[in-house]
Amino acid sequence: MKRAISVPTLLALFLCAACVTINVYFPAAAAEKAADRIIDDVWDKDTPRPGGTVVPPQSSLPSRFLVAALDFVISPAHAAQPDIDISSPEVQRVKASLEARFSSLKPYFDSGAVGLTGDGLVAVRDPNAVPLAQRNAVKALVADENRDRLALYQQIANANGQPQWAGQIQSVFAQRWVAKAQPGWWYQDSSGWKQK
Amino acid sequence: MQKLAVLSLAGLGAIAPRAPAQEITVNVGSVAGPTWRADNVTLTYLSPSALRLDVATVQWAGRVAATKLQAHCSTRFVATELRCERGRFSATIPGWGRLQGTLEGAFGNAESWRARLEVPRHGLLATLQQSAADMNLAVRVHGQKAEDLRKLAAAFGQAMPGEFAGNVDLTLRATLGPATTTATLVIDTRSLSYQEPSGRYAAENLAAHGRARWDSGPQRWTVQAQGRGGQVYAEPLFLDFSALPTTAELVALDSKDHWRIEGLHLRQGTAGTLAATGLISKAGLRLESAELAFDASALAPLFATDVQPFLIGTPLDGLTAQGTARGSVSLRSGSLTALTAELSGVALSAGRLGLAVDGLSGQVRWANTGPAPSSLQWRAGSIGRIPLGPSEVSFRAQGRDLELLAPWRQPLLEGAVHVQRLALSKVGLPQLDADFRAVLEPIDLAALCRALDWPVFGGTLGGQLPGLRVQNEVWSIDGALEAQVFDGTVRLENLRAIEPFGVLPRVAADAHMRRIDLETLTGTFSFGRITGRLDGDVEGLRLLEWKPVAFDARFHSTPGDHSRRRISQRAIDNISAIGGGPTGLLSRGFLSIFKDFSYDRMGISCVLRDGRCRMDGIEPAPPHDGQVGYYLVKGRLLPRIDVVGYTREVSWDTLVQQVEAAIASGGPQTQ
Repeated sequence: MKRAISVPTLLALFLCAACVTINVYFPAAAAEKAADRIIDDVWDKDTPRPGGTVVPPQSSLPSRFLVAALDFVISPAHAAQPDIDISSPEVQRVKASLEARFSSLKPYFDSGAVGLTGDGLVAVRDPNAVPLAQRNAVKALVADENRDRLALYQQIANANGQPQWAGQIQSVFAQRWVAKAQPGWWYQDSSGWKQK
Repeated sequence: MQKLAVLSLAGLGAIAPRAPAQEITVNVGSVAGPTWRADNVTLTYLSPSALRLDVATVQWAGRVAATKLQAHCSTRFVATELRCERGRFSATIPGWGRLQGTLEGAFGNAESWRARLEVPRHGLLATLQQSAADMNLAVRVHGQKAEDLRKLAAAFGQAMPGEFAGNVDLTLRATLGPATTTATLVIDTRSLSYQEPSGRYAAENLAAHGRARWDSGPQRWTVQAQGRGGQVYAEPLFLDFSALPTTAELVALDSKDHWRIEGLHLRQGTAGTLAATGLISKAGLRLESAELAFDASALAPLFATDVQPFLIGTPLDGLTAQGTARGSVSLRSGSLTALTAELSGVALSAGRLGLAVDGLSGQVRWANTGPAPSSLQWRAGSIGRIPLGPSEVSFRAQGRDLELLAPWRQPLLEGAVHVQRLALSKVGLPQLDADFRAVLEPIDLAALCRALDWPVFGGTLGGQLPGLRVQNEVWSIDGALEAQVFDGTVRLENLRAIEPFGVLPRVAADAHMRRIDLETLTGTFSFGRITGRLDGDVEGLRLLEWKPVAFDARFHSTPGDHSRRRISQRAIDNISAIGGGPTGLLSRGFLSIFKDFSYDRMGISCVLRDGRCRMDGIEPAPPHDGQVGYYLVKGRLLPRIDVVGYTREVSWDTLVQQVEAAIASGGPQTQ
């Protein structure tokens, strides 16, 4: 027996279909560009680049038609494509601190005493490459650098109103520090230390 | 068997003088003692008066100690002794290779014999003497390469990873009796260097003397060591013996499960001493208990050497100390259980926290259980750039709790913080809880401004601080501070210290200004004269390194105020300049005859975010050249002067520079 669907049922189905979930995705590409900009400034003080926000790439949605149809039914909330803002005073302050430390840290990157870890930090890789009297100073440099780096990741997340992004920003930075490392520097991946 | 004998003879030919044909060979087979064993032992008597010994392998404690041991000497009887003279021996020692040397000995009976071996090339001299039941052993190895000793130790299963360079003198003396054994080992190094692969231990040019004595009766070790020069790194400690020669004496008893430290005495130059007793469990070398007493006559080098390395990576990294201190420390199961310290003329500086204190004296007592009262006095100090006056505090510290025993008054900037109650619990944990009540006795704002490198203005700041809450690394202070400035009031509320011990310590507050007398304010800053009253609200003020980095600020003429409102040419010029406009317009035309003008209202607002200030005025102004502006000053009466701003966004740094320039400039001159 065939029965027509009643109007209330149709309405209920429609309303269910109109339930909207807003997913805020981590803007990985924008974060990568932001990371590159910061890393360039920290590691290459001779060619400073203007700071500011990063224009993220356009999103590629699976079906423009579906979106158009949905937009017709439900007026879309115009959420801007998320940028990664690195202009907050806290981010700039930590960045300045990283820049200031780099000249002290660079000789140890060059000698292989200090390397880049897989989680966006630095570590003493070969203490024997450091004279005894300087070993604790290098440990302190590394500890300070890591405190600043962790603060940087958290402050970038905070500046973008998404404190929970700190971990993802750290992962993006981890890749970018390694990608931008100078030849001869050491970095750590899942299989251990490697020289670039 | 015959073949073997022939081979042995051939081997003998290398070290033994040609002997006549007559000989007697005795194959002893194996000979063993409690800790050693010799296999394939052959004794050959060569006429007329020579003896030869061949041993295939000698084992010591189950390991091969020597192979191809050959000894040869001429013999003669003196009284009842058989003497071995002008002898030679050779042996292959694992890790050392082939050794050749001279041999002498005398044999009376099993309880009376002696032997002397010398290997000049290796600086080795060994003597063995059996008298009655005791055997005396002396081995001296001088000028030995440390690397060779390491190889030798490795061959005997005493692996010591790493690389050595330099020479070592070793002397071992031992008396082995049927019941007891005593042994003394003396080590001297002159320029020993060592690198352990992990980098956790290392030495450079180490000049040291060590003496260790072992008594098997009471199972006691007595160790004396002197670091005379060079450097040692034992993570995280870096000891520079050239700068701070160090001596250590240790008496320890070895029991089945434990090492009992009967006494450890450490002396670091003339800077200080440490004495300790303790119990160490052999399982995992766990410290079960220890009592330490220290006496530091010069804290600076001791602190740098012994304490600072343990603070790396903490907010106290970089802490320095000077002065003298003595005290004691108790440890149980690896944890601190009690601490006392008596300080005298101590200067502490924790640069990272911006804290410093000078002329610190008193007693500090802390215990894990049980109340322990402490009292401290200091002559001066500072928090950040704010100087602190002399003060004293008495408190009780127990476990993770700390409580003031009496109200504490800390003078600063001609006023004081009067802490009436302070009790902290769970210090060092995220659940830190604070019970705090304090009064800020009016402090001098001019002094505060100078300390913080702000533009200097007078007045006082005081208030009640009835509470403190700590959550997520934000320390929120209840209550408000009120400043009496420029004949008006500034009220600071919602005071917060954000991550005060982190990388980015920040201060946040809301500020409300009421009835500020502009004449006094502008007079203070030589900005140009303005009369009238000003109200202002600065919400969400955030200071990073005492510089504002965010706020929503709004200033405007006090509503309902009927005081005379006049503004001078120069002030108008300066306000115009701050708004990005021209200066000096009024000084050129007929308006230059007026010194000041009447105004209806004035005001400015600024929302500071990320280094940019979004500006506005008191109300929108009519469009001009298609641009909508805002009134900064709305004039009144004639000649009416309005100041209208059009710039909506300006860099904060630029704005600050413009204000500073306006204050610094002499202002336009009226001709």
